[in-house]
Amino acid sequence: MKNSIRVQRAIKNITQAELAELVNVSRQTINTMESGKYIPSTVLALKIAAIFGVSVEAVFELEEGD
Amino acid sequence: MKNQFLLPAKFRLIGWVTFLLSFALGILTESYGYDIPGFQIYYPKEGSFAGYNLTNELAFLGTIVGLLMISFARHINEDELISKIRLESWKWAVLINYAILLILNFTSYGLGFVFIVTYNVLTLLLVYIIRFYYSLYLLNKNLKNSED
Repeated sequence: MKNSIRVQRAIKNITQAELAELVNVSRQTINTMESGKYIPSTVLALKIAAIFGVSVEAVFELEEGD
Repeated sequence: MKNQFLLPAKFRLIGWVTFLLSFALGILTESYGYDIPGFQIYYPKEGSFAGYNLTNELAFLGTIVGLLMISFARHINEDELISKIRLESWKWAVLINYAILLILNFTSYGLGFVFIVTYNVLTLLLVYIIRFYYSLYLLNKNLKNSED
């Protein structure tokens, strides 16, 4: 699964730490997600999309092999 | 992330203290024959009473409970990533534990086997703790390496 968290963060101008605090996870979790090593739960994906004010599909998308 | 079956974070420290003290007591009692004076149970035997010292039982209890507290203490940043690392670490621990047991099965026998299996009880928790904290260490290292 691909995600555009880094891009969305840049648009919103918030750091990993700020996003982590907003969705109530650790900074490590955001960092690991951005590098594609961790697939978040549905709840976390929905929370992140809500923070950015976009739909989940705008942040997360399937890639080949999923 | 509710209902995770974990202890409060401070149990990590309490667990380490309990484990280290009990482990030291275990070495003292197993290798040097130290018994806590008066820490006995008495039971009737052949018209009189016989005593049995409970020092090694206490050491074993403390060692296991200490390791359990370290294993089940909530991480300060407990979230779904940490939960995933916990699960992975348990898988590793169970596999390695039984791998050791199977190797012992073919390399030792009799009382020696029973003696080593006593310590095999601890490997599950030890491997879990080592794998879990090593993963957290790698996680923090990656975080430091990547710019924000």
